[in-house]
Amino acid sequence: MVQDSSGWLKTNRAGRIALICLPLVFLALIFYYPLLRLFQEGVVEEGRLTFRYIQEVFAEPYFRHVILFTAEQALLSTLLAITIGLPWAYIFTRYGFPFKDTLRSLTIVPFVLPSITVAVGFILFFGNNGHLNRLLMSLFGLEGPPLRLLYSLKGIVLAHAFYNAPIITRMVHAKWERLDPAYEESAQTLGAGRVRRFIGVTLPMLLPSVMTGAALAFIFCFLSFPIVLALGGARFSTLEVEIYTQFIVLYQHKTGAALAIIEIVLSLLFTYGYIRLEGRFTQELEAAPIRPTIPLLRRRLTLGKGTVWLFVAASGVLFLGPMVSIIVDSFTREWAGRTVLTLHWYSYIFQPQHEALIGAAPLRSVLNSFQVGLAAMGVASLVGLPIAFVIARYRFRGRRGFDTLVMASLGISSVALGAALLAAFLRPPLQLSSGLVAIVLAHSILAYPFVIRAVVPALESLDRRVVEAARSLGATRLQAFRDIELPLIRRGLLVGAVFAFAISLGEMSATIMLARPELKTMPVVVNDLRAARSFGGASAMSCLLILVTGGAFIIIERFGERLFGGERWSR
Amino acid sequence: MVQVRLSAVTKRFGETVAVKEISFAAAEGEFVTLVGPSGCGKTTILRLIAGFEQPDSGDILFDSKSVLAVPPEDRRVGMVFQNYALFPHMNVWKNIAYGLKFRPGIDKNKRVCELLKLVDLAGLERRMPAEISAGQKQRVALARALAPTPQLLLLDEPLSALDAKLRESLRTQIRRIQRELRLSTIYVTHDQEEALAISDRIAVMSLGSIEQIDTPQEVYAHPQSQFVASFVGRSNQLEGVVIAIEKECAQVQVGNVFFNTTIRGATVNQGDRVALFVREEHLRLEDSEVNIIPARVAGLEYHGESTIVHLESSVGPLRALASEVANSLHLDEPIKVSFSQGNAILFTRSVEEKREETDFAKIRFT
Amino acid sequence: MWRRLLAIAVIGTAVYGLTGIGAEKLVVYTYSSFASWGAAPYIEEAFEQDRQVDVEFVATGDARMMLAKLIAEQEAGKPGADVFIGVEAGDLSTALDHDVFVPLTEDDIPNLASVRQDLLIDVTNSLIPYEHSYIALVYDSEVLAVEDLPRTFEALLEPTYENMIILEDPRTSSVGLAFLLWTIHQYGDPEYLEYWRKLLPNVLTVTSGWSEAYDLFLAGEAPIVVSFSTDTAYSVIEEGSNRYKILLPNSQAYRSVYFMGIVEGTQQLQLTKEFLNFVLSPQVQERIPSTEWMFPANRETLLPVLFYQNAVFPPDPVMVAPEEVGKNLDRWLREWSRIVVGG
Repeated sequence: MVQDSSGWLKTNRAGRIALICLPLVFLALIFYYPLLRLFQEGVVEEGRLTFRYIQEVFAEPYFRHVILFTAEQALLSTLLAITIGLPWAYIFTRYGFPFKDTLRSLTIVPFVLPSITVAVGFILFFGNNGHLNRLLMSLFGLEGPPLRLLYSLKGIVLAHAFYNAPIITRMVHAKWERLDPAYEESAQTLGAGRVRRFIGVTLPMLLPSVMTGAALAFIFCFLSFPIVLALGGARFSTLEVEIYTQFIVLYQHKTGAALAIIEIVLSLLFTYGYIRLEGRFTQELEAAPIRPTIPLLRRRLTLGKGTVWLFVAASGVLFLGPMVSIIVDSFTREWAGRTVLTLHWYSYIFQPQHEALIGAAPLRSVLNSFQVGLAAMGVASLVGLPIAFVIARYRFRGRRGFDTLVMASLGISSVALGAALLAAFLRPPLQLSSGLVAIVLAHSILAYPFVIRAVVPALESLDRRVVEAARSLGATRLQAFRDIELPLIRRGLLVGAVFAFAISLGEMSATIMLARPELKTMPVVVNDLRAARSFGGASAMSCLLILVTGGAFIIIERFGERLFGGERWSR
Repeated sequence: MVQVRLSAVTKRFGETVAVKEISFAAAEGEFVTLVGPSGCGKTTILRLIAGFEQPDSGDILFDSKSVLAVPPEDRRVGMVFQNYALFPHMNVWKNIAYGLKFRPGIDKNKRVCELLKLVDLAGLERRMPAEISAGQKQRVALARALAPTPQLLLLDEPLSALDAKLRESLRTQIRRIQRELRLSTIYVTHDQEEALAISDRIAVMSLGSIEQIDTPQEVYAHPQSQFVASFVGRSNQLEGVVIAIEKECAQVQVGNVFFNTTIRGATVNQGDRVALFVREEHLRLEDSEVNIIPARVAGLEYHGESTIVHLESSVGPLRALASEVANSLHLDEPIKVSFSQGNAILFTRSVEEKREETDFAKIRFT
Repeated sequence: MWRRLLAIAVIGTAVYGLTGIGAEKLVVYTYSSFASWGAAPYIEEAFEQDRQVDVEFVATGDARMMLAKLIAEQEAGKPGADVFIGVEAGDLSTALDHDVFVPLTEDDIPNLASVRQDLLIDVTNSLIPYEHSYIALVYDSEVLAVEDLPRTFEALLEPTYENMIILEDPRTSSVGLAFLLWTIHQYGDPEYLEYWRKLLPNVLTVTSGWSEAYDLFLAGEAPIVVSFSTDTAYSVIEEGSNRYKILLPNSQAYRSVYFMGIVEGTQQLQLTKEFLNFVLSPQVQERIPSTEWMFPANRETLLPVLFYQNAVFPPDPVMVAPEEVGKNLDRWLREWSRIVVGG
């Protein structure tokens, strides 16, 4: 029985049901239908249901190895992400320092960078001939590179930690800074030392947020594709790579579909786990006051602060190194065996006329990215908001299952998605002739889960009495939504929307399958430039991408909101 | 300024019946309080009247017209919530003015200023809810509810989150405003003292039903059921057996003490097991002719203008409310306490009361 | 605000749809580097000049993805292109198996007569060559002195070259596939697997595509990469550097040919024939070296001097027959991945 805590008459209810069903119908059409069409190839043969292909996959040691490896690298990456993310959460919680808010906003930037950029940055910085190794070699007069991190599991795990440590940091920090110091203080009065206090009191209370962040990080690492390829190479095949091979190279649609099904089932399981954890996590985030911080830059250098600085330096190397390398690369050029500083790549990027290399002026791709990004943001918000409403406001059996299902696009192989959409858009009933619409739809599908995840906590933390108060004063349900709920969740919605925008900016795999030349977005151009041997140009374009993404996030954080950390109306 | 009537209203939530066939009415301009322990259904009734819940059976009428088909926004009911439910993103002025949006033709400025003056908050218009105190929030909530001139005012435990002094002053203020505006009001609280202080009539509720609805004086002096007797006011409860009945008088044996009590209303037979209620203030710290209990002072609670004397006696622990006499008492001092015949309230123990007793035992000395 | 965005999206779509009305349209699917840096812009401009036609190059991915896209569209009965440029020899049998292309003769394409004989691998000429090159090893002369070069396949297995070789994944890269076929040609089936097992310790990484591999090579991660024998020409001409040189193991190289074809079901059969003929014309073929960094298919084309001097033309190119590839590709790729992945 659906219990709506503030529902009313049947006529209104019909209207509301329509409003909520609309995005679901939309999703069913452009996401679930194409997906099922694709999947049915894996389980239907000659009109009959068969699990033969799935069984074949599990029977082959090779595929089992691939699946296990995918999980193994995801697990190791998550552990490293926690190892890096947790201390940063501590730093943010305990210390105050100038530009702390800006820094906190920027922590999410690695997450939305296109993997192609991150891969290049890592190679330039951590590679055997990268800046770090060369620096170490010249400092210590070494023969060969001392840090062989890349082209191995180490490289993959490191890059994944780069992406995902910020998520852990944000989630744990959001919880930690509202943890009542009274718990630790009472332990202190009972004689517990610092370490014991942390292990016995603080850590158990932080555990839900750590687990939630870890679950999310695990899902992303599990589905990671370009990073594994670029930094690991073919020796470290994951499920995604196999799916690509089966579909694109071998035209083995049945095996490919079987693999895609296995992948999405596993992702759905992880997503379900994440949702259950998240429920506990946001529930416990009460409107507690934020604990006070100690200024970091005060003169006294204690042992504690010393370790902090050391850690900051080390992780600074991890996060800034690759990005600085890309920036440096965009300003240099090889000529006659020498490296010279130049603005060549940037002038090339910014020239306004049609450039053969790209198929359009490079700036055009920036415009395309924005066009597509804004449209995708709009569609994702329109789809995500009503669904978030259903999840937050209504209590019904199987609610978490429903939540998991709508988050399914988070766990879908981008190759499979591209192939599915392509096949579905070619024929009725979904036949589309416009590439632009197809791309916007694909991006929206990939982005709307983030809108949901940002809005649901905002809705849940909203006191329902406020809506009732509005109604008792004369507002209809819709007016109450417009006047009260919408402004209060506006920030959550904004966060989700901007996140959707950023996801769209960085998306490449699905776009490649659906795009046309004039519609190339920035990541696609980065890819093309690399294919055209214009590696410097690719770096310049990447820098532009970093700038735009970073800028977008700084802007939203000025509103004082935090994604993946829950939200509490404070002003 | 409307008469509200509930007629055999029942509301279920899943398996639980929150409101059992409740019928009562509040006259125009009357201040009725629903009082009872948590879970008795009083808040549910309020929400039913406001329109946020629909009854499973029965009817709700405003001025003899059913409002079941009327949505909350059209019922013109002002509601004040327990934790104020102020709109956090609007300042005080906008909060109060919100309801006026839906009543065109009213001069907003004038009305808001009127209300700010009424609740004594002039000067705070620009503050945000997060920047004002709890007491101020409550007054804003009141002003907001009153702004669109509702025909009925509902208050759901509006003062329970405030400290004692503030509670007292605010409840007086609320009553004063209500009188001035002659607004029909239904007030919900679990604090029986509050209910007694400000209501025209009280409805004592338990487990979804109204035990008694009457003026505070009547409810206090003549409780109709054991539950009401124990919930309202502070009483000593003794259990005994009726030994003899003589006209309007019954002799009750409690332990090895015998009491004479006046029977009023209750049907008592010889041999009945009964509950005997004696209010704290009726237990006198002096010897008398009848109803004497030898006791010993077990504790003294100083309350300024009065003292509560805890006593140990052969019929169990007792409490007495005393004034200056108590100043001279010492612990463990033997003392005789007594009460007059007419000050005892007698209840026969029905099956239901037996069940209620288990709950009741916990709230004995409230 | 959302309404405005929706309007933008709708209008954008409409505008896009409106362009190209009037002229006849020719859609060419190709891979992104051909469309961007390659000969495509010149071809488009020159072809459109004398004719009332709008040539549109669609290149949103690598050659294989574009082919997959075309095949998917074909199966749905709605091919999105009239011409496909960019089928590599290794994928020849796959492409032909799907019956996507129209068989052609010299009557249809007069310039076919000028094409090098050894390149006409498809007997039906449904796919005709437009450029070719040779897969070989490219090395960094600043790291490897001439004496230290691995001159044979066996030499590549020596421990001195540990972590020094960059290879491409044959499943995702034509260059990688060519190298795999080369080892099969050299060692036979299934002995080639043993070779790979022994080669792996010397492989720094197996990248997904040629550009990634070359990227790593240029960044100095390893001194040997599998690439094209025409790469030296690029280095010299575009970067003024002699640093990167070609190595032919066992004095061999593996043939790499790129094909184009007319898509079955096109409405512009005559126009497409003219188009393909145009691509094979001397005027276009002349531009191939400097735009594609490959050898032109038309044997009568003159090569630019610097290109001629620096690109390596192997005396003895090898190739596995396409029918063999067609029969065994599936199995070979599977066996290869069993050895390499997790190895």
